[in-house]
Amino acid sequence: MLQKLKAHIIPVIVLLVLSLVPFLWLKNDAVILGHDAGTPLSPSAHFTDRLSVWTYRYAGGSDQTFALGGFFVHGFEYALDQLPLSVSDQQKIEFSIYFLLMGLSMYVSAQLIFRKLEPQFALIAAVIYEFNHFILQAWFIAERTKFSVYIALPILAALLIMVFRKQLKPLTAGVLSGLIMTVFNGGGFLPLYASVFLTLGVSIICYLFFFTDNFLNRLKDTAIYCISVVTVYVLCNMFWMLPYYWYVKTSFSQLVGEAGGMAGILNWVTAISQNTSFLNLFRLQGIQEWYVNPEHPYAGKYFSNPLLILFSYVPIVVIAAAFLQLKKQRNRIIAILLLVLLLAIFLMAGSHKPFGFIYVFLLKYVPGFIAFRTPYYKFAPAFFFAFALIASYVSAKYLTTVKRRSIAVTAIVIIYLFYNFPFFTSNIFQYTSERTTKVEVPSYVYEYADYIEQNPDNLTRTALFPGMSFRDYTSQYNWGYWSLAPLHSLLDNHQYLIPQRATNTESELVAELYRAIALNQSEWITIAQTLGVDSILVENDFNEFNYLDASSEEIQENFKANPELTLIKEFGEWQLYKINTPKLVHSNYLQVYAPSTRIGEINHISNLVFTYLNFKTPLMYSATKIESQNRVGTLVKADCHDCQLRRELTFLADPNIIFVPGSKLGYLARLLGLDHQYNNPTLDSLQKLYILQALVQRKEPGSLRVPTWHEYIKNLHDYEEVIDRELGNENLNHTSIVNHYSNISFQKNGIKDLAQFINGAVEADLYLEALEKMRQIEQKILATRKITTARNNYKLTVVPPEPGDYDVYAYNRLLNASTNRNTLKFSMNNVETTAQLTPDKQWTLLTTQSLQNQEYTIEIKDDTFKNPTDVKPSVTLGADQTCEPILEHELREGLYLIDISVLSETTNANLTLHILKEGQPQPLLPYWGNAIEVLQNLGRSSIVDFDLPEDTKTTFLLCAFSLKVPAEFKVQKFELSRQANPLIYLYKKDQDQRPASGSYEITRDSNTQTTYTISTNAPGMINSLRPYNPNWQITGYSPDAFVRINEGMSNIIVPEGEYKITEKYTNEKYHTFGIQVSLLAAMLSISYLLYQLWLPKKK
Amino acid sequence: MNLPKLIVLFEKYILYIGLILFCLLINFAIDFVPYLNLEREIFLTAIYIIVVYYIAYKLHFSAIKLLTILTALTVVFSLITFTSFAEVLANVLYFVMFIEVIRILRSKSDEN
Repeated sequence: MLQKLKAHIIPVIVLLVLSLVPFLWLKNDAVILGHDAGTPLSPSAHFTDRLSVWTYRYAGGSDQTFALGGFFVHGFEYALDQLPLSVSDQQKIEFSIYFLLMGLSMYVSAQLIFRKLEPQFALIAAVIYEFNHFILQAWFIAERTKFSVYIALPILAALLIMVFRKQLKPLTAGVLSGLIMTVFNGGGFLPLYASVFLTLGVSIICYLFFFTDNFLNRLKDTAIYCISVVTVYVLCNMFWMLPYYWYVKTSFSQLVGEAGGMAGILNWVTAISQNTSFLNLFRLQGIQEWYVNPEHPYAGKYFSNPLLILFSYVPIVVIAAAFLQLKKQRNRIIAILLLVLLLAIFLMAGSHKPFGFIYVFLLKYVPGFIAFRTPYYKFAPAFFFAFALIASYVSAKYLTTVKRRSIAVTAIVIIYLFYNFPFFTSNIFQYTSERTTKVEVPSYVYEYADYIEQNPDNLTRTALFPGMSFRDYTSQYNWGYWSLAPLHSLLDNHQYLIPQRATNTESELVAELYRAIALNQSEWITIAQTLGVDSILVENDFNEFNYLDASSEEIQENFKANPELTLIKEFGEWQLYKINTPKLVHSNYLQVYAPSTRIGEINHISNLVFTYLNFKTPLMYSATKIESQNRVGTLVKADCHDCQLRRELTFLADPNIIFVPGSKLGYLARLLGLDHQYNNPTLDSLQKLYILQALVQRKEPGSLRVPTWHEYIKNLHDYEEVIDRELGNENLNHTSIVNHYSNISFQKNGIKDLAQFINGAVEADLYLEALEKMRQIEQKILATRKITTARNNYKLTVVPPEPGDYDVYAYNRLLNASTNRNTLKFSMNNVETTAQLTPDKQWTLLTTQSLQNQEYTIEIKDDTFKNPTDVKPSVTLGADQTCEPILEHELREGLYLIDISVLSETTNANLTLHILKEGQPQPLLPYWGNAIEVLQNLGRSSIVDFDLPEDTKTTFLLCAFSLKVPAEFKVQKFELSRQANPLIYLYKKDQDQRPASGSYEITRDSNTQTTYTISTNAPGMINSLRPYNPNWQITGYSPDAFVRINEGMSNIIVPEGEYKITEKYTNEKYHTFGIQVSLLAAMLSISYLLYQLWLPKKK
Repeated sequence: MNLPKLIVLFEKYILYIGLILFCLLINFAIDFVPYLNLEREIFLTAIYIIVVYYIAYKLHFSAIKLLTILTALTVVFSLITFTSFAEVLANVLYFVMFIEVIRILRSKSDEN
C-alpha cells in the first residue's frame, strides 16, 4: 500500500508546483477584476448578499434567484476572506486550488479508468487537462463556474466506468456523483453541464448497446445510477431550485433564454462558429476570440510561429495513433473516449459548414437545446477530457518498451508546457492594448467599501456620478477596471442609481436626472427625490467623466455651492455628498397617461412641466388612473397609430422549412406530403413569396415558377377575404390592420425585386395580376379612417380621461416644419387650423379646447424629409477591410428609418449596418450591427430603424464578417426617412399645488424585509426605492397599497399619521424551505456513503 | 524504369488514377451545377468518403492504414496552406474515424 502511494508522490508534487502559476500572474497586489470576471472585491459582503433571493446590487433591486446556485463558488471566496490576507493573496490561493483540483481530478480519474496505468502517464493526462487553449481562454476572466464543472467531469466519468466494471455499486456511484455535482455545480448554471451530459450519456449508451454481459443487468445498473444521481442532485440543490421554480412561475420578467429571439441566437452561433472547422478542432484550436481580436495577447504567435504551427498537428496524430493501438488491442474504454471526442468535435463545430445545419436544426427544434448557444465553450470540456486520457494511453502504449520512461514522460510534459507558454510568460489578461482584467485597485476604493458597509450616515440610495459611461454604458476607471457590470456590484451591498439605457420611463427619468445635474438645472433635486436618491458619490477617477461638456471640476464646484448638499467624506478621488432634504411623502403629483415611446421623451416632458407649466412636482406615469386626491394636473399623450405603420417593421417569418419545387427534396417532400399549407392566407401568401424568391435564386426556369405564381395569386384572393371580414367588423382591431398593411407592403416590395427576373409573357401577366391584387388590398386598408399614406401626414387619436379644458402642446423639434416654414397645419376633429411654431422654444401651445371623455382625432400635415444625396454608390469589403462608411450626415434628433438594398454580383454575404453617432468608435466586432442579407444578384430590401436622442453627425458603416475573398457591394437603394412621430400632449390643470406634508425613513432589516417609519399630516405616496414586484407584500395592510409607477418602480399609498409598516419578499420562504431540504438530503447522502465505507470493514 | 513497365503500372492503377481525376473534376464542376453548389462541402465530403473506401477496398488497405494515410494527407495539405482542401480531407478523416470507432465498439473487445 505504502509502495503504491510512494509512486504517486512525484506526480502529485509536480501538479502542486504547476498549480502555483497564479502566483506568477498576480504580483504587486494585482487582482483579476472586470470584463465578465465577476470576482468580488469584498468577498464576504458579496457572499452574504447571495444568501437572499433579493439583492439591491443591481438596477435598484432585483430578484437574484438565478444566482443562488453560486453558493459554493462564492462560499469558497468567503472562507478565504476570513483569513488575514489581501484580496490579491486570496485570489492567488483560490486560483491555485482550482488549478490543483483540475489536475488532481484528472490524475485520479486516469488512474481509475486505466487500472494498469503508471502514475507518470496519468500525469500527462492531468497536465493536458490543466493546461490547454480552452482553459487558458477561461482564465483571463477566471471563470470559476466553468472550472467547477471542469473539475467534476473526470471524477464523474471515472465513477461511471467503475460501475460498468462492477467495481462500485451503481447506487453508491450515483449518490457520490450527485454530491460531487452539488458542490461543483457550475454556479447552478445547467448549460455548463453540456459536457457532463455528453460524456456520461455516450458512455451509458455504449455500455447498454456494446457491452456483452447480461443486458437486463446492465439496464438495471444504469437505471439505478441515473435515478440516484438525479435524485441526490435535485434534492441537494433544492436551496436554489425551489425558489427558482417559484420565481419562474410568478415572475413577470422575461426569461433570459428568450432574449434576442431565435434570429439573434442563430446570428450569435454563426459568429461564434466561424472558425470551428474540424481541422481547427483536431488541432485543439477554433476559439473565436483568437481570430476576431487582432490584439489578442498570444493567438498571433500560434498563427505565425512555424514550430507552434507544426506542434499543433500533434493532437491529430495522437488521435490517429489511438486507432493504431486499437488495432493491436481492442479496448472499449478507449473506443468510448474516441466516440466522446468525435461527438464533442461535432457539437463544438456548432453551425460551422458543412454540417452546421444539423446544429441549427437542433437549436430550432429540440426543446431546451437553445441553452447551448455557445457550442465551442459548452462542449470543449468533454473534448479535452477525452483527448487528455487518449494522449496518456497512447504515450503509455508507445513508451512501454522504453527503459527510461520517466525521462521520456518528463520530456513530453516539458515540451507540452512549452507549447502552452502563455500560461507562464504572456500577460493573458491584456485582451486589448488598452484593457486588461489584471488591475491594481487603489486603496481608497477599499476604504469607501469599509465606510459604506458600516453606513454611519444611514444613506439609502446613492447616485453615482457617473458610475457608468453615458456613451456606451460601461463601467471604466482610470486604474484599469472595465466591465459592463458596475464596479459597486463587486464592491459593496449598498443601493445605487447609475446611468442606464433608456428603456422605460423610470430609466428615462434617471437620464433626465443626470442631464439636469450636468447642466446644473435646479429641478434635479426634485427628480432625485422622485427617484429616492439621498446621496451622490462623485468618482473623479472615472474615464469619460465629462457629460454634456460638464467637467468633473465644474460638477464639484456646483455641488459645493449647492445649499441642498453636504460633503460627508472624501475617499481619494471619490467624494460623497448627502442631500439635506429628507425623503418626502409625495402629497401631490402630476399624472401622465401613457408611457414614453422614444428615447429623450421624458426630457422633453420634464421641460414642458418644469418650464412651461411651472410645476415642481413628481411625475407619475401610469396608463390607469391612480385613485388619489392629490393629483395636481393631468397630461394625456395623443397616440399616433400610423407612425408605427410607417416604420414597416412588422415582418412575419415562416416557422417551417420550405421545400422548393423542382429541387430533389421538393419532389420528395411533395410525395410525402411535407410541403406544408397553413390554411392561413397571411402565412400561405408569405410562404409562396419565399418560394418564388428561392426559385429565382436557384436560377430555376420560368416554367417552374408559373404554378407557384398561380398558388400565390389564389392565396392573395383568400387574404383579401380575410381583410374584408376584419374591415367589416365594428370593433376594428387597429393593430391587426396595421400588421396586415405591413405584411402586404413587405410582400409588394419582395415581388417588385423579382421583376427583373420575369421570363415570358405568361409570367409577366401573373406578376402584374399579383401586384394589382396587392394594390387593391392596400387601398382597402388605407380607406380606414385612421391610416394615411402621405409620408408626412399623421393621424393621432386621444381620449381625455375626463371632461375639461385642455391645452394642446406640440414638441417643435420633432416636426420637419420647424426647420422650414415654422408654420404647421393641423386639424382637430376635422377643423383645420394653422399654428405658428416657436422654433427657439421646445414646445408650442397649438390650441386650447373644451373636451369630453371621447375619442378625438388630430391630423398633422408636416413637411417632407430630404433624403441625403451623397451616399457612396459602392464599397469593397473583404478579409482585411471589414467595414467601410457609406454616408456621413448631420442629423436632427428623432426616429429614423432606412430602407437599404445592397447587391453583389459575386457572392452571398451577411453584412451589417452600423449607425455611429459622433465620437462613437467603430464596433469591436463587425457582427454587432443590423443584419443586411445579400444574395448574389438579388437585391433585397432591409429596413433598419434607429433613434437619435439629440442632434449629431451620424456615420453609416457597412461591415462584413464572414468573407474570405474581398467583394464589391453596390448600394442599390438608401432611403433615409425621419419618422417625425409628433409629440402632442394635452394638459388639464386639476387643483393648485400644495407643499409636501410629511417624510419617511427606510430601514432595511434584511434584503427581503424593509421597515418604513412614516410621519405625515396628509395622505400621500412614498417611494419604496425598488422596482415593482408583486411578490413584495405588506402584512395586515391593504393589498392595493402598492402602485406601479413609471413602468417599473413601486410606490406605496399611505394614510396620514405616524406609524411603521413592514414589507416582505414572499419568495424567501421557498428559499428557506429549499435550504432545509438540501441540508437533509446532503446529510442522508453522506451517511449512506459513510455506511458503505464502513460496511466492507465490518464484513 | 523503362516505358513498358510504366505503361503496365499505369494500366494496373488506371482505376485509381481515374477516380482521383474524377474527384478533381467534381471539385471544379460542382460550382456550375445548380442545387449542389450550396452544399459543396457536404457533397465533396460524401464523394471523397465513397472513393476513399472504394480504393481502400480494392487495394486491400486496412481501415487503420487508410486512417494513417488520410491523417498524413490532411496534415501535409494544411501545412502547405491548401486550407480548403485540407478542411475537406479533415471532414473525410472525421467520418472515417467515426465509422471505425463504431466498428470497434461493435466488435469483440480484448480488454474492458
